[in-house]
Amino acid sequence: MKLLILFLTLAGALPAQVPYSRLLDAAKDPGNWLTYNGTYFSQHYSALDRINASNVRRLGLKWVFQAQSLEKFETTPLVVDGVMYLTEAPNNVIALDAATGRPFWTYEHRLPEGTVPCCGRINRGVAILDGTLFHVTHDAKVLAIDAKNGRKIWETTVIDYKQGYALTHAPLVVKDKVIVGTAGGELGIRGFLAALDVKTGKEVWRFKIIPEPGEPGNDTWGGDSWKNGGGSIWLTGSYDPELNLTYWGTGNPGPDWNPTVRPGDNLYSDCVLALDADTGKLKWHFQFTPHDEWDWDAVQVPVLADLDWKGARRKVMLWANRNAFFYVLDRASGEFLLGQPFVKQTWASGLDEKGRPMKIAGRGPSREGTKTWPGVQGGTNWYAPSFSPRTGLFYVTAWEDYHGTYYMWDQKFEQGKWYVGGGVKAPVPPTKRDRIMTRGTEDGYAAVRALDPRTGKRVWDYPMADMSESGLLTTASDLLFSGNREGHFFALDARSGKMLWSRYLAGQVIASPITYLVNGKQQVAIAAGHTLFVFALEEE
Amino acid sequence: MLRIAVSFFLTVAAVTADQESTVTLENPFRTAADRVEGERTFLSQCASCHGRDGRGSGAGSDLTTGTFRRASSDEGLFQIINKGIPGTGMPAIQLDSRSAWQLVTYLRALSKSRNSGALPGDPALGAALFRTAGCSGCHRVDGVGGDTGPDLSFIGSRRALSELKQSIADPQAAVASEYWRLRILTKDGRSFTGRRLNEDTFSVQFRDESGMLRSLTKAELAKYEIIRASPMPLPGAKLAAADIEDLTAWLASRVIK
Repeated sequence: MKLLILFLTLAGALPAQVPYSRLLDAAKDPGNWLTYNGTYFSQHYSALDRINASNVRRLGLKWVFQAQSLEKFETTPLVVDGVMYLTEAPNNVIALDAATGRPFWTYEHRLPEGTVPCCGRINRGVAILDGTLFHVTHDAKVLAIDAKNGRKIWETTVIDYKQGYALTHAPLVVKDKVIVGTAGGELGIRGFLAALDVKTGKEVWRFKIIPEPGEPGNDTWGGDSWKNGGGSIWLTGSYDPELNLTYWGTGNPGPDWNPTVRPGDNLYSDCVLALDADTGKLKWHFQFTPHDEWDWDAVQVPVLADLDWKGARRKVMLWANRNAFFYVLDRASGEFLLGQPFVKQTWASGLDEKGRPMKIAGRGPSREGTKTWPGVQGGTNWYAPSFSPRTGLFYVTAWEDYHGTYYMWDQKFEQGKWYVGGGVKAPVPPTKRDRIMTRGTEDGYAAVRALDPRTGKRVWDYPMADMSESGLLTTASDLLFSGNREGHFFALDARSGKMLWSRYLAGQVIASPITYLVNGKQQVAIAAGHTLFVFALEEE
Repeated sequence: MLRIAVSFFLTVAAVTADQESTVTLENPFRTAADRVEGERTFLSQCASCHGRDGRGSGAGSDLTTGTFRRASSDEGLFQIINKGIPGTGMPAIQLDSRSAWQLVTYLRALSKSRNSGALPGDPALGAALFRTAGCSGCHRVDGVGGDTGPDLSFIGSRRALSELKQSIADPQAAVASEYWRLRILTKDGRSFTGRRLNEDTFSVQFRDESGMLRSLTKAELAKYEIIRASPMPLPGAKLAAADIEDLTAWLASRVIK
């Protein structure tokens, strides 16, 4: 194992070659970070253990990368054989030396006027297969880029961006296809997932998240409301090779806060979809928040794990949802196995035996405003959770005791414009606005929360003074890395939650940490502010 | 360079072009009808984050204070509407130029509309009372006064009448967190009180009673108490109702011109 890692990291001078078999076995290749979520199971867990509880205090800064953009820096890099590939806003791809940070090349995508990515002109990363990188853009294109030189190989426009569509997530490569989805749920789009041929960029299949008349699920939309039904894809999906299913979380129905114009469950908004990776056919779906009234997208990484479940080994999916509930699903069938609130919530009295929320009347948006927990950012959001097969625990960045006052009003749809039908007042900004933080924790705080997936119960908690939009990473040495809005990057003991190490980086962390090897030495990378920071152990 | 940046809008906007100097765009749509159109756009495109009243929501900032953090001119507002603000949730709003200018007109009106109209109090009497009652010991106005409490130079632009009146009559009713104070005892026996300036998971920053800026890690602290009560004496108990009206009128007149 160690020899393999050494060989792969020494091969840094060679052009990146990542055959599909290598993506399948990414968990056994922890010296590299080969997909956005680390592996197809999206556990944000690394088998590396060279940085551990006894030496983590020697972590020191090795190099930084400065983004040439003032946008939020939400990138998660890939690392392949000593080369790091990352994105900076709005749509640049950079290849650099993972040992020193020195760039090899930059690909700049020129955007036309009038792109409308909701909530920040950001991009979250790239995918790789063989020697080709895949990148999505705000003008709704998918690009194939030669990893050796940053030259574009092909470009496919998946939809007209002028209708409010934009693409922001890292694509997912499965076999010979690259899978992408569209954002724009705040602009009255109809979201979809598309699989393109990796060689040609030609579309192979498309799954419509908002079904059209005659398609299953269209009857969950009253009248013509399906026409602007939303259903974004904000985040990269997962894949189970044995089941050949790819899993994706879908976004909110539109308009966000005026549910009266869209009676029904509004499928397939706020769902996890299990699609056949070859055909895009729906195998099963599970809707977390039917007829969503609060903008609680299922905008989370689908975390796949194999657990002993009531005496038998079971293929499950672990999901802490924006709606404040933690779910365990059978990922072969979609069967609901467990659901528990993981933060304070006031909108549902619980989940029924099928996992459907039992809504409490009067907790949705109103003309005069309705105060409901959680607030609009939810109990958690898009930043990656983690599952450690060693501790058996599921870890999530939780927003605790956080509320919003939800307003509804009437709004007509106009193409390419905001279509949300209301608004939310909250005492906590959705993202950092000021370097000064004086508010008390009574309006909410973030915690790194460890849950036992077999019960949904909390095992430990690391509360922070302010909120956090940082993803999590666990390692085989039982460390947990994360950051926060305050600008700290830190390591906790994954078994106890004890703080072991931290550094103040000043810029807020709105990304997920990764780890990899350079010349046999473990590195940890995190984006904070407008900078990517890379840490490794200092010599004793 | 600036000419290149704004050339996109030149065809529709009134322009003062000077080959040697900067180009300034003026708002060509400033009538009452434009303001009404601007309000319509505001309610559909802006209110979800900035609130229907424009006073902010957590997601969007308060647009009614008479000053904009990121723009000083109509052109600046126009550019923000069209381009968004990098690094924030403020997106580019897809509007034609006319609609964007009309929105600027509405934003200007929004910030001027607060606290307009006749008030029962006399601002001149209120100003005199402010001087004689010792308020400036804690409050700064036009560069003079203490800084325990809020600077009141432009308070009329930032607060509604009802809030001004309440702050005088009952200072404890709503104390903004940036004015909370703290009391600290360290493990090595030092004690501090002062104005709490900033805090995170690991540390707290404050200004002690002598004016010294201090930062302590929470690991050093034996006791840490946040004092949320206002240190402001209760003038409401000593002031006549007419005095409160006068002070309110004077504070309301302290607006950004």
